[in-house]
Amino acid sequence: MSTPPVLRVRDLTTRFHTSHGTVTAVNGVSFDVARGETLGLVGESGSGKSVTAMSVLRLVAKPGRIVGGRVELNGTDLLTLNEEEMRQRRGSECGMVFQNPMTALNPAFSVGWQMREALTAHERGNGTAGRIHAALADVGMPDPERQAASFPHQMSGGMRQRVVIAMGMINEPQLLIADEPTTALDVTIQAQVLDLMKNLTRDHGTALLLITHNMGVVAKMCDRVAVMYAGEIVEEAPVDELFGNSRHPYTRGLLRSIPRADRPRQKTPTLPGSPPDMSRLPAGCRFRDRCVFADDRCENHPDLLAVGARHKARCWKTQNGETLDETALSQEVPHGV
Amino acid sequence: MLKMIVMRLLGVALVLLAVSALVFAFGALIPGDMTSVIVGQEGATQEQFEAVRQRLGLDKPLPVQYVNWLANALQGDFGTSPITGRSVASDLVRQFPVSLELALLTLLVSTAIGLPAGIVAAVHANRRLDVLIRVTLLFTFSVPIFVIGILLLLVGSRWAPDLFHVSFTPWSEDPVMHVRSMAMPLLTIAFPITAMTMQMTRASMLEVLHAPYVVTARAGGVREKRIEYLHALRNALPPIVTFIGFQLGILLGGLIVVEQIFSLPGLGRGMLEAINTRDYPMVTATTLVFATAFVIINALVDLLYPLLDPRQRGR
Ligand SMILES: Nc1ncnc2c1ncn2[C@@H]1O[C@H](COP(=O)(O)OP(=O)(O)OP(=O)(O)O)[C@@H](O)[C@H]1O
Ligand SMILES: [Mg+2]
Repeated sequence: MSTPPVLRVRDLTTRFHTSHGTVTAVNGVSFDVARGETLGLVGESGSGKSVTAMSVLRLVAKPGRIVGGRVELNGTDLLTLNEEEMRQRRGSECGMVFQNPMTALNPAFSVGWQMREALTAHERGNGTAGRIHAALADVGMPDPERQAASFPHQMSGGMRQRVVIAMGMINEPQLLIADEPTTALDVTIQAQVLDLMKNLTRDHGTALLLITHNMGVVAKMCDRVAVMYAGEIVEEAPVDELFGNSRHPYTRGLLRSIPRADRPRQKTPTLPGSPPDMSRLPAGCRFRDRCVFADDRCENHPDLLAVGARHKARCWKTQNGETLDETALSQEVPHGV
Repeated sequence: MLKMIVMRLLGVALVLLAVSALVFAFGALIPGDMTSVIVGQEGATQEQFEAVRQRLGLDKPLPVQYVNWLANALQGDFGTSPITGRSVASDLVRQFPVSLELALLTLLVSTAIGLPAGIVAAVHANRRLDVLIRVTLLFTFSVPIFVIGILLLLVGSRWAPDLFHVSFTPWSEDPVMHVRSMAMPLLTIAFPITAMTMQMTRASMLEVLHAPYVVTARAGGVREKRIEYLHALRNALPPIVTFIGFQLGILLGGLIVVEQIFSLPGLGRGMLEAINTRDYPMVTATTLVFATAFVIINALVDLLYPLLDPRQRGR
């Protein structure tokens, strides 16, 4: 790849200082997202996906603080900018779509007013009304003039999420970050909203960082996937490679816990155990306690290293060319609910 | 919208009717009645007593008395005070403007200071400015009104007699003196009310300053000041407005104390005097005025609500 990536994150580390101690929610995370590419960021609840996303735009609220690393957006390290320079880049170079469209829009203002805010934060210009209507039409809203005048509470969840996406895209940013954009929506609406995001980002060549814990969404949307566990990326690979040849036991577990059409939902194995307490992380591999392959080497903390072309994993076993024997995995007791 | 207003007004009328019945019932429940006040405790024969009762209509059943009282009240006739011999209505007309002026001025001053102070405190939550604002205002709040009043009275009459003219002067007599005579009562009652407004505004703002839509706006690059003073404040406002309306009610109670301390001829002082002298018609009439004012204020705030919160408007 000769063109530099739109987003290049290096060794990003974000900590929360609380009364219970210090939590390193994001620990030395590195990844790239190229123009027109969709990178999926997956992992269990609490693994640090949202904090990673918020760190990119420097929106982590107290008691959180970015303590190190680089976040290069279009070649500029955002962590070196002052607050005003940072503000100018939010929304214009990077848009954001949040999980819950029921709360992401301001209930006191009309949809059009809020879109105008997003637009005029970056430029004063004529034709804002036209651009707002066009943006609403782009996300498939019928009758944009009327919709612009309505208030969020007058719309359905799916419609609101379209508005949030339209707001995120209205300044035509090079990067869009979507944090579980469909989790809060009805299943029937989820597919429509995903299709919409896919088409929009493709048409504009937008880089998309898509956070989800739904492997089905990953399969449908992503070019590459980064898997997070306890604040670290444990595996990163192109999507086909990850589904067909994952090289980390945690990813294997995640893939096995996808509900499948050919077996009843109750039979879907869930990953045994739970993620470690982030304020008291074990030394060595963080997945060790839940890993059926763990051995003495895992007392030491593994690095994220190449295990194939464009494929990295944080596991002693696969880094040494050993295979993860599926028969060992199937001996797990299925944890049905 | 028009239909809604009509419905609300009907509701207000019903509430007022209920309030009037309650006020009347309380008056009737107080042991003894006006007759003994008029006739005097001793030396009156049973016949004299009955004659007065009959003249006042107190021998009729309570519902009839209520209807008569209400019919008269609706025409502005609250009877004659057996104590002062004046018509109760004329006293009310004299006292009401004094209290209303004090209440409205207090609300104006407390909102003008408390609202911005609360907003600034919330925006600077737990930093120096916030702590300064809260310590200052909450200190005044923790001191009872009568203590502030007496302190001001002492300080004012001793070191600044020109600034604070102490005895009440009506506006019509001497506007300048009037303003001076209102200054200290106003200051006294405005302190705690300002502290309350500040505290309520701060809490309401803090709630919305961390709302997800604020994060959305921030992620869209909207300027921080604009987010705080427009996006967030707009959402914090409805409960604050309700609270300020509610404060008017509290104020009415506060007036009793302040008017007493500063000898202001307002409703509060009038009421206290009436209670002390068992001036039944005066007590019921004043209570009715206070209650009516409270109901009307709340109705106004209710009508204001849809303007402030779009979710309260029809779809
Ligand atoms: N405000 C906070 N105060 C303290 N710790 C926090 C805070 N926010 C996040 N954390 C820590 O950061 C970790 C990662 O949180 P994050 O929200 O990024 O998880 P996530 O991967 O997005 O999970 P989910 O799938 O539930 O959204 C949490 O486990 C928690 O320990
Ligand atoms: Mg999250």
